[in-house]
Amino acid sequence: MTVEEALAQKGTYEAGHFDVLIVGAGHAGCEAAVAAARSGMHTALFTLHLDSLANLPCNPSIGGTAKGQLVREIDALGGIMGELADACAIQTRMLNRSKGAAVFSPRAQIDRNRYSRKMKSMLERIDGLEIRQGEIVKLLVDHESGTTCVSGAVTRSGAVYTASSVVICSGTYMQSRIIMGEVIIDSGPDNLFPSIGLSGSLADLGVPIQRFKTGTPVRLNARKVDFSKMEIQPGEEDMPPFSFVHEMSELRPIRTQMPCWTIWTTEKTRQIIHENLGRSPLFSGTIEGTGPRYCPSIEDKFVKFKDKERHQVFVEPMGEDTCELYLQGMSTSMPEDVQVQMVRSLPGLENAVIQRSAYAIEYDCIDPTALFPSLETKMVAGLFCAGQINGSSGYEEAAAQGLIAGINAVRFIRGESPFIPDRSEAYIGVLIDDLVTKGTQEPYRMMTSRAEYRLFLRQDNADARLTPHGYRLGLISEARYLLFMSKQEAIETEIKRLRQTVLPPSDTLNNFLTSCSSTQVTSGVSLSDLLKRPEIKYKDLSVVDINRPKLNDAVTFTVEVDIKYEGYLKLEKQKIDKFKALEARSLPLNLPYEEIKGLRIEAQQKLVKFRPISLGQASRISGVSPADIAVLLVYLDAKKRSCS
Amino acid sequence: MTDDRPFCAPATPPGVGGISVIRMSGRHATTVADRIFCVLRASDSAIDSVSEMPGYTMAFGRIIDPSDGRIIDEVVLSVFRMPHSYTGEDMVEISCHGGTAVRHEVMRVLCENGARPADPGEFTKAAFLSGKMDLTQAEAVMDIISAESAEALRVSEIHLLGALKNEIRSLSEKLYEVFAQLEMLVEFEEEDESVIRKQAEVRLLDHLNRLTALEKSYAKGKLLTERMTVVLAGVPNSGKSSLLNRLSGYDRAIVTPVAGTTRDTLEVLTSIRGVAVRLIDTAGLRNTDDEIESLGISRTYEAAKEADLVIWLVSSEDCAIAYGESSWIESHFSQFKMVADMIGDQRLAILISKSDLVDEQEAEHMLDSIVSAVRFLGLGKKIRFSGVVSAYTQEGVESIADAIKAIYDETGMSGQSELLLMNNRHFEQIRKAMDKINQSIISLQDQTPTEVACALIRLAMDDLGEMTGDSVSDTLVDTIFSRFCIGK
Repeated sequence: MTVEEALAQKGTYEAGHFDVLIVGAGHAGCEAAVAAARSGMHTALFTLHLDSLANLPCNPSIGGTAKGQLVREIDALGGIMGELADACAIQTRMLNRSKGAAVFSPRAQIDRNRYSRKMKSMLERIDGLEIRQGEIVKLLVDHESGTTCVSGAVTRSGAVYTASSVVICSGTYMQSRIIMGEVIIDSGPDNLFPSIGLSGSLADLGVPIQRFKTGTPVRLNARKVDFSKMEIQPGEEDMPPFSFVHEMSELRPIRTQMPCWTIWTTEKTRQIIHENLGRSPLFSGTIEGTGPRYCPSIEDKFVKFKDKERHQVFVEPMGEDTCELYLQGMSTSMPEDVQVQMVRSLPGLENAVIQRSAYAIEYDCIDPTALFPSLETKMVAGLFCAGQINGSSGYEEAAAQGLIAGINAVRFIRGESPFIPDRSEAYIGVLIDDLVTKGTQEPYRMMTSRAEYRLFLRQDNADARLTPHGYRLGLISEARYLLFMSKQEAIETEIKRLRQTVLPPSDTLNNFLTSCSSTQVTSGVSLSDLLKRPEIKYKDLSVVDINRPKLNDAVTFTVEVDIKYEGYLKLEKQKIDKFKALEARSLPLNLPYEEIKGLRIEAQQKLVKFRPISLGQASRISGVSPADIAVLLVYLDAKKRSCS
Repeated sequence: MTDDRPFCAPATPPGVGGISVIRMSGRHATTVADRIFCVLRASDSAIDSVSEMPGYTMAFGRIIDPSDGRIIDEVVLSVFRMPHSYTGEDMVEISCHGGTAVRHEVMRVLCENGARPADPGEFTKAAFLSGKMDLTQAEAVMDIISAESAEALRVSEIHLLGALKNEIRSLSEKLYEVFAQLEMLVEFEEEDESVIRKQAEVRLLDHLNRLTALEKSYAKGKLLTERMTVVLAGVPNSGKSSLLNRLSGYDRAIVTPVAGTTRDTLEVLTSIRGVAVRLIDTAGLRNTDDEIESLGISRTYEAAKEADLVIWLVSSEDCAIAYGESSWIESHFSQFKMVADMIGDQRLAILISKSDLVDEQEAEHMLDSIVSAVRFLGLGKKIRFSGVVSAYTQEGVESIADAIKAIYDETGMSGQSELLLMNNRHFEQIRKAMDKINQSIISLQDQTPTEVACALIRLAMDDLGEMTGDSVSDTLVDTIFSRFCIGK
């Protein structure tokens, strides 16, 4: 439908023009809106409910393994999630401290109401951004010389907006229904309205739709909980903040550090679940959507891991001004009466009072292979999708996509080439490439194993990897960029100093080495060579490193990892160079794959369908073999030769 | 646009042979063939042009130069239709009479009438590009081309069938299992971390051993493509050249009764019992002032050093003279010892040559005394075998051939369908992978975090993947195809 056709319909009216129109104000939508508005675009952000902006309808936490890295990357590019999470954290921890530096992952419990309120107050103060409560039900397009281009959108109340670009961040709201046992309700999360009609409008435009499922556990009142039966999990005072702004400043947000607790399911829990399996919609067939394997409901866990007698449950606070607790690990779609029994079978929760029930939620999302790596749909120019609509799960995954979609909507309007971080630069690159190149059969969650170059993609160097991009894109201020540069310089200087400082063999040195259970030395040794020994830490080395300068923790962390991993990073770098060479070979979108001699039929079909932007992306499409890539290489060479 | 002329090249090696085969591949291969070929008899009497011939059929006819109507040769022409051909394109194969002149003429008329000479490796490249073979298969084809003996061909065939690929893939799968388990450690909380790390270490060592075996086989594989070296040595006029001629099957070396005729080393490439052998005839060893001859003698030592087998010949005439006087071993001691010291154990054969000049008993007696003298010198362990031989009557030649084959078999490169690395690129990739697996084992032994082992194993799997073509880097294809010789 075109704008003219929409206006010709009864009950509609012309409501104005925006450069960028964003549908949905969750974590993706908010990032997209801020990126677009800060780039000078006249931007509108539509939400079904203004008091639920950037809601955390499931776990009240941000970060965690791989997700913490994503938040650091969003921050490094100039996104907002990191700063806001720092400001709303009620408990912080660095996960995986016992593991390697590449998987160190910051995580914070978040005061969810405060997060939402802060987001609202922040968005309201951004120039050029209008936030609006309203449901977008239809997308409008123009057909110009063979291409379909987005031109606007219509709200349920009949307002017809024109727009140069539209970003859809519908989360889990499209045609959503929540399920508790036999009860099925058409609803979004937290009893918010579902979005009705938008997914049909997308399907009409040729965007393929799939149906996914996810779920959330019950919420309890803390006043009826016996914490003495639980193991306490305190936060860490010294966790580095998510945001670079806070990391490099003396003025960090003050943390209250509320505790979490852990418990285990009991034999009674197991019994209750087994007795009531027949009433679970998961097993009765009521739920059609595909759920995530990594985050199964508790009944799923008991069925799939039969040999495990018990499962761990985390009891987490929802905020400072509420008694509400979240039961992580107890996601379920069982009927309400079974939920009560299940919860009360847990230690310390014998008298628990449930404030909100657990539920499964089914929703429409798109097949993300319908997207270019810019997150623009292949069917409609100027139409972008970001977040759970693309088959991902998680606030951080959503925010990352929202930021990229916002950036690229702006670049689309300006006629600039899209910004696409690659797999060697960022988890964001891995996330988007996986989604658009491989598609997903279940809600996609970021994991560190998905990254080929994990030793490079660390939370501590997210700024080094991405802040120059953020600066170039206009999302990083001049002042912050200067601060960034000085941090990088400090890292380089310290690495150089450690390499150049050679300690002569001495009793002091050898005593120190013995105390670290390290081999003694008989000749001079540089500080960097000592640091390369796995048993020696930068901090400990201060005993023999007398002239050590006073440096920021963020600086010394990166210095230590870069030196310790130097050899391995070099090996990974060689691989990255090869990878980049294929990424750099761009493929024209209109390449006549059907006519290229030597391509196998399957490869031709896949390439026509996917329209990859580079040889690198083509090589990752399933069904395209190395031989096909070789053919493309030869074809491109031949074409280049005939042009020159 | 790309050049869509069909490309052609001789597929048989240069030199005189019964027939030569010239191949042509490309969309217009049959059209070009029709311009120069006149069908005399085909599978179906209705067929009178190449374009009408179905795939997998042959026709007898004449190659005619259209510029003057001259008949160049009477040939058999075979047609292969896409995609059922080596390259996956339409192909024509012309089997013409052997000889450089005919071959040259056929190539000329083809190229004057719409074909072009093939680039090195273009046939195989086309086959690879049309998805007909993967990288290891393509490289094995190259090895087949250069394999000059039946044995090397057999190993190449194993490669071609993907045995190497299968071995590498199986290894990659095993590595992946370890990798996946370690990834679990990195990604999730596991209670028994040290146990899993230890397990991984042990399994990685196993896989490393399998790779080491493949790596070691490179030396053997190299021998297969590069031939086994047999050096003939002895004092002047001990009959080395005559034996060389016998073993290689045709007169190559100049044989004269004048001692010192062979002043330089002389090589013959031949096949003995299916084994590719480089036979080296050397200058006779003696004290000499002749500059050229001394040079030849030092080359003899060089050759002996590299040899898989040194055959030391003692002429029965020399032995007869030596009787009663000082023993042979004394008179030729210095020359013999120089050579014997250079070669490995079990790498020496001592033969009494010209056995036809003495009777059997006497020859045996001569041999015994020489062998015991060599043993006395403490060089007994160098002896692989001994015997008598006559280049004239061919007595003993068969047993030399048997011995060569036995040594070859013993080196472990024959008989079983053993996997051998014959290709330098494969060797390099295996080396790289081994280095990373080795590092990953070390990292698991000390306190280095598990993520490092994961990174290293992932890189090692990539190295192996590049071997089988499961991953392709931008330059890989070019590197490989530039090494193909023309015609394939």
